[in-house]
Amino acid sequence: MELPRWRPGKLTQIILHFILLAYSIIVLYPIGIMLLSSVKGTREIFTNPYGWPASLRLDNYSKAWKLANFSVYFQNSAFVSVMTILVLLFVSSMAAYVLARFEFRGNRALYMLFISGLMLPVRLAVVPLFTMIRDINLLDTRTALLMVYVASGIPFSIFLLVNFFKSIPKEIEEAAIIDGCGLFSIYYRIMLPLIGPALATVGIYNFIGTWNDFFFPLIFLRTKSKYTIPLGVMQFFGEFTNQWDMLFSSLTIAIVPVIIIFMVASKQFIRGMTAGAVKG
Amino acid sequence: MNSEIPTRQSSFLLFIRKHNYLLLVLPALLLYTVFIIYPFLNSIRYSFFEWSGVGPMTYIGLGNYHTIFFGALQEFFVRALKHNLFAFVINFSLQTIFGLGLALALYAVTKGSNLYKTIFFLPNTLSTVIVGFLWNLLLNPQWGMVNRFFEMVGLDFLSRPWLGDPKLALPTILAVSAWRGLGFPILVYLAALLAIPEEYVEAAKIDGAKGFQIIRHIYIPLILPTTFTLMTLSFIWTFNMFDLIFALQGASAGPNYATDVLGTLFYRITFGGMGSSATGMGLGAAIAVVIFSVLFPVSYLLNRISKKFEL
Amino acid sequence: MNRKQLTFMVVLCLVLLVANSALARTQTVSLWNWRGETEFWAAVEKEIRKEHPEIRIDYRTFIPTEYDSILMVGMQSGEGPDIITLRGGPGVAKFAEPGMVERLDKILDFSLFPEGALTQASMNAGVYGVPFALQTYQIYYNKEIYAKYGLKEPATWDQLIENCRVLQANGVTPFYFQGREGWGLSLVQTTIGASILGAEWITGLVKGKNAFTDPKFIDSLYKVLELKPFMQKNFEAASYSDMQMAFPMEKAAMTFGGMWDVKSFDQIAPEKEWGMFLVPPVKKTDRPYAYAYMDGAYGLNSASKNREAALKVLEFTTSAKFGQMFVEFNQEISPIAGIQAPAELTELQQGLKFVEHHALPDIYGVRSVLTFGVPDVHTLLGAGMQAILSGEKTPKQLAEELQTGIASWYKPFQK
Repeated sequence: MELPRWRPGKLTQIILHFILLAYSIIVLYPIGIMLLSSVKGTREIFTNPYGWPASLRLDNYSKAWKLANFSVYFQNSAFVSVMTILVLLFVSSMAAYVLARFEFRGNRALYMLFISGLMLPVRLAVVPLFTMIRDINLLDTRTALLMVYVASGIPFSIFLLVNFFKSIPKEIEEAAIIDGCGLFSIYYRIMLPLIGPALATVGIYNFIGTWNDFFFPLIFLRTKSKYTIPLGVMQFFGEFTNQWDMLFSSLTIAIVPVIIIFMVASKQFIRGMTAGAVKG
Repeated sequence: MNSEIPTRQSSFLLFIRKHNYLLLVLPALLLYTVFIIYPFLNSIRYSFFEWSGVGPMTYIGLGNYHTIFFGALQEFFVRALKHNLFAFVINFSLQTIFGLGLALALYAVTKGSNLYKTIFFLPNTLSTVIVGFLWNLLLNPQWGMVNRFFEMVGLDFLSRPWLGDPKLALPTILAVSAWRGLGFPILVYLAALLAIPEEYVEAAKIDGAKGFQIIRHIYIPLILPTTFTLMTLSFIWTFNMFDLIFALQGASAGPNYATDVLGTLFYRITFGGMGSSATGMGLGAAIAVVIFSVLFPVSYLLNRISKKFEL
Repeated sequence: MNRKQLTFMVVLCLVLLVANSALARTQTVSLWNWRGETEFWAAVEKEIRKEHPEIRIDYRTFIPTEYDSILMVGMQSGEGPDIITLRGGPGVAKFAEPGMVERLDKILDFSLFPEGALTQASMNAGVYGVPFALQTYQIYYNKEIYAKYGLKEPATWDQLIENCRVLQANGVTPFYFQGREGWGLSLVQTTIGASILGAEWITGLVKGKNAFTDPKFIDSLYKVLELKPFMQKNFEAASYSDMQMAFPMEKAAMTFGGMWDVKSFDQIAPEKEWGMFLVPPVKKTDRPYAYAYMDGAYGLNSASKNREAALKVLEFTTSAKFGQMFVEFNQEISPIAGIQAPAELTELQQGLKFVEHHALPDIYGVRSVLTFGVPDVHTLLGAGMQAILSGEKTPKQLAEELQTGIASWYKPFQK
């Protein structure tokens, strides 16, 4: 929204741009160095960290990819993240719909129960979570991750979606009932599409959080073939500690896809990830 | 079907038929209760026991809490708590000064703000752990690019053992975390600035206010609620810190526990690490309860205060 | 035989064949440790399969500092490996006591192992693991650089300091020091302590006759500080793997290292010659000592589902052939008697001499009896050394901390 706002003069503008540019360099430089180093050999990284590579070692990427078994890590991260938001959106939108639209005695209490989860950092319950997952034989499974991520995403999801549902006019629902739609139909065919933007917001927020999470894979997973990307990178760093060309290549492989997707959909990303702190 | 005597079972079924929408809530409720609520309550229960994770659990009442506050763990607990508080103060200061400052700059420039926004937010999309590994390489005392840079431009005295000096380690980690996380407050502040109604600014201009005065008297007071929200989030975030420190210093949070925070202490006690495998799950649960007891009231309080500031 | 009977015979034969191969189908034995020995275990598997073709070894390596917790969690959840690599000393008791590993001295043949090696893998007269490596920690030096400045291996501590001064005067960093990882610092201190304190005093310490707070021990802490001016710039942030790269890349003339580091050095600079010497004692007439300890032992998981197969693997690890392979692959010292180091592994031969003639009878740091309880001397010393080097604590304070900390559970210290 363009508001007539305070627009300082040209000189100030130049100074401001200078400041913004300086910070941009601070942000981008480390990433740039990472990219630069990822196409060099280890010796070259040591002797000539800032210079242009003598020869572009693009095979560093394929080597790191194979050595680190990245295809498996990407698959695992993708599986866990995608499944998490699918299940989460489905489960929480159903619940949010009911909480927003139906009056019944426990409604307020139930809502507060869900919202209280916003204040409970799930990591602190990791000890019983760990023993419970272990005792039901789900240790070292991606399913365990899935359950925990979905459960921990429910409070915020319900919080956002209830508000959204409340803003939909009642007439739409009433019309659907008159037309003879059953409860699930109403939810699925009418309500869900109407809260598309909110679903996208919740989806992105949770997707990134799940994709980047390190803590729960660290606690729950033991088999390398089940590792997600952050854990896989840690494993790689431990095994190939001194091969800096491989280390930088692995970081690049892990980061660049996220950066690309972000550049393409930055507006949605930002909206999704700042949701809850930004009003409107 | 003839009329039945309403048994408990059928009246339950009737209830479900009448309020069948409640079934839609069930999946979420189930998952949430089993994986969040139940473990939390169990955490409190475990904290009263001495338990290695498998085998017998011995009830010791407040024994674990005694160990934390008065016993062998006291030194570690107090130090970790101090580090968390330090992290909060630094983190909040950085995000308020630089976050707001850069947001104001973005607000005031006539073009390019979208590109800047994208760049500034970029590090936020990266995994904390991966950021940690990257900076571990950059800060390497022998080959890291940071020290090399200083040596190349003749600022030799700035080539320090960043992650090895007990006095520098934690600030360094906080600087890295700022590099990663500043985009968030910048954008939140920007959105808050953009939401300020034009009439206020117009009225101020009519009254003859100049740039800095507008900032001081209009913008800053009106974004106070946002500041409180960000303060709450900063508090929650710094008290949950773990990933970055684990990536940069390992579970032992060296050197000599200079970067130890409640999160790493908790992990070490619960899962061992750094050569030891001491697993005191009961003690770990107690630490978790203590962390939670600090986190919950303070964030709740901050949340209430921030609501009060809303117009 | 008519057609029916013939078909029956054929089918029977086929069934027996299938059943037989099903019986002899692969049995995978899982084995975990922290040593990054993928190639080694592949070779061991190949060797074992000559006699037992159905055996497969599923080897997994973990980051050394996380290995213990990962292992404990795995054991507790019943997902542990068939063969567990136990850290020597308390590491064995930790799993032997709750019965997580089986007693092996009645099942396997330990005749090739010397007494001393077995005691560090035992608990209450029962042997619970097959020891596989003896480690020593010493000072490595770059022979070329030493020759260039006419330096000789020092016979006294003062001569070592003198060597450092000469190197520094010529613009060469004397020591490459890793200051970041506590466990490495603890090893350095105990390596210095071995020669500075002497075997007699250390035995007295372990028995409770001497204390950490004795001036003699505090002096051994000061000795590390004496080396501080000769360490490379920003040593506090240098990690162990940094050292493994920097020393062979000639960033410094000397470094503290273990037997296991030779392999890493050779990978970086295969053509260079590494000399090694034990920390020289204060007086010329004193004897230098080597801090030698049992790195670890292979234990059998009591809950293993592949017990028979695992035992076959363990049996192999008690053999001379395994010892030979271990020495050749890892260039480390095997406790198995009579293994000769190949002639070209000069450092290994040197290490064997250290063990034979200079090993401390009692040790006081890693893997010693002072690590059986909490707080253990290894953790205290590691963090404590960081504190001393940064000036946060004085050696006297650390000595007091060590004494009170160990005395809280170690009976001989409790008067």
